[in-house]
Amino acid sequence: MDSPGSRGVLSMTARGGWGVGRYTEYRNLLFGAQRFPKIILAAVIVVGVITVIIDARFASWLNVTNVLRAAAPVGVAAVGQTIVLIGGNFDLSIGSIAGLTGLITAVLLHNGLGAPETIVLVLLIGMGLGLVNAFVVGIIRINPIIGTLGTGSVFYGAAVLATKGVPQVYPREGLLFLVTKRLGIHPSVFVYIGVLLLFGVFLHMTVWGVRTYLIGANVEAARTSGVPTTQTVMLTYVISGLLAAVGGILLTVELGSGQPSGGQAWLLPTLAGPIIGGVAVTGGAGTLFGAFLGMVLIAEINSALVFAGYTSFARELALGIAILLAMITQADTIRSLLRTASTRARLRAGEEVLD
Amino acid sequence: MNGKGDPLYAGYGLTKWFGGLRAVHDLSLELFAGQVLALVGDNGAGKSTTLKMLAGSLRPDAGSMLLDGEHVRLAGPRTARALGIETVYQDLALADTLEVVQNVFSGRELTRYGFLQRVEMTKQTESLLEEFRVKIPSVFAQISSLSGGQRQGCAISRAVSGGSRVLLLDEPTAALGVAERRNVLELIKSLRDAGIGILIISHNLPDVFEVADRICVLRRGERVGTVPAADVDAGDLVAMITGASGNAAAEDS
Repeated sequence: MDSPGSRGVLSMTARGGWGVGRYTEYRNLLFGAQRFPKIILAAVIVVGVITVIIDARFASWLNVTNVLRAAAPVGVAAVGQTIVLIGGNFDLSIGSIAGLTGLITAVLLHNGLGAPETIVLVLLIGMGLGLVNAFVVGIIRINPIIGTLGTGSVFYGAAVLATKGVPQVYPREGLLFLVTKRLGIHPSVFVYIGVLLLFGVFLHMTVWGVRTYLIGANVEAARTSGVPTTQTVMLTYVISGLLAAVGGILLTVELGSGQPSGGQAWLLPTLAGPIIGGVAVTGGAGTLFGAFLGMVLIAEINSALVFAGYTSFARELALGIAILLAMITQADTIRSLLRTASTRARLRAGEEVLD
Repeated sequence: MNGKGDPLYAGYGLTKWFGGLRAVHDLSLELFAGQVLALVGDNGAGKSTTLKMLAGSLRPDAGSMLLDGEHVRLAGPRTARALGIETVYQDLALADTLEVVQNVFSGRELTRYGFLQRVEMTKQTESLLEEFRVKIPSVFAQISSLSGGQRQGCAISRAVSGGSRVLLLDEPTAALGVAERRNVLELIKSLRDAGIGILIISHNLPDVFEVADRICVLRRGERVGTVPAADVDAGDLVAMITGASGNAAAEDS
């Protein structure tokens, strides 16, 4: 393991102060075997530094907050995707749920419903759509990729059919609190950070969060040890639907109208962010902080491409390369090569290697 | 029988068919508190089927199981677990990407108002592993970073962490190095001394002789005999397993 200082918490009460050892103990207690996403943090810094060298304006407060603002709506939805991925499943309907709920937000406001009521109703609808996925994957046991691709197509189809694809305008007064910057920061960034903290607490401090990791890591082991696996899977999809709806509301605020196809471009980024951030597509490993850094890196690369003078057409290519690089570091073949190399190095250094 | 007092957990007349194949026929065995019973036999003799029936993951077609002299009907492994009957299968069933603590408390996490009691779970895991002398780098170590013996130690510790009284072990020393095997055998002995009734399936006769108080030999789904480990040697056992010679001094029941 990476820290010889992680001997255990029995010493915690005995040892005082707030040194590195103390930090390690708390880190281990909260995150256990989940590693800090060092490589991705380094990538965020390296890309940032290179772009600043190209154009110093990249480091301006305005641009930094704009990068975060660009990451926020899809980032909120990617928090749901991360939780589903950790549980060993996929939710490919997130973009469609965001599009449909964003559209419903506009329609409800247009028809005179108050903003608070609209938001509550839309969040409930998001959870309801998530519950549809929960039934399809958790109870009927359809393969999650095919199942959520199907439900997503139904949600998207409903949105397009109801509107004939025409964007729906809405009165903006009620949602101004999601438009007006505070402390120079766009409100969607606060929403994103709030969602990250809330669901970080869910994942690492509650029994349902820990069970999400357990079913993702080894669903058979979880079942035989008494974890209610079906309910846990269903919960992850309901959360994903809820957060897709939050993303949908932010999207409608961002676009200024409810657009039926507004979330269709989210499929790749909601998967890419978590995966680049070290969330395992096989389940049971990864953190929201990693997924957050993954989303930031994607937004940062998009912004950097603009500063470097590339058109938006280069974005897809850059995103694809980033995903492939991230997947290569996760691949078993590469991992075992790295492990062999590190064991050899330790043997050469004269260390005793168990196993 | 050579047990002390009444059996802790017992199966009588256990029979299991798989289609037209009779895997186990009219098998009876008794586990006593603080004793190790070894189940030996050739491949296909019905050892695993027997263990699965006792563990609740297979329902016998005939026969009955008694815990503390009371009939028990096991609807599944979870029922068995709730009654204090724990099983550690050969494939271990640990969550590789997670740390030791989460694995030990999987399915019975300590919570207060729905929030995990992480400090308490960590302390209990540390003292549990210390009690059974399972040496790992840290209770926060990822399972996949541990050696086979360390994993086996964690899996067994998890099985007994809930205060279980019966422990069923399927090939606990298979695929382990010499030192690791010794550690696991020591662990089994200390659990025995703690008063747990243990059933162990093993192909490895030296291991069987080291930990077992009694040995139950199966051949083609039927019991050849149950003998005190002190009364037989490896040669007798091989003869009973293969049916090569007559029934030595062994058959006491």
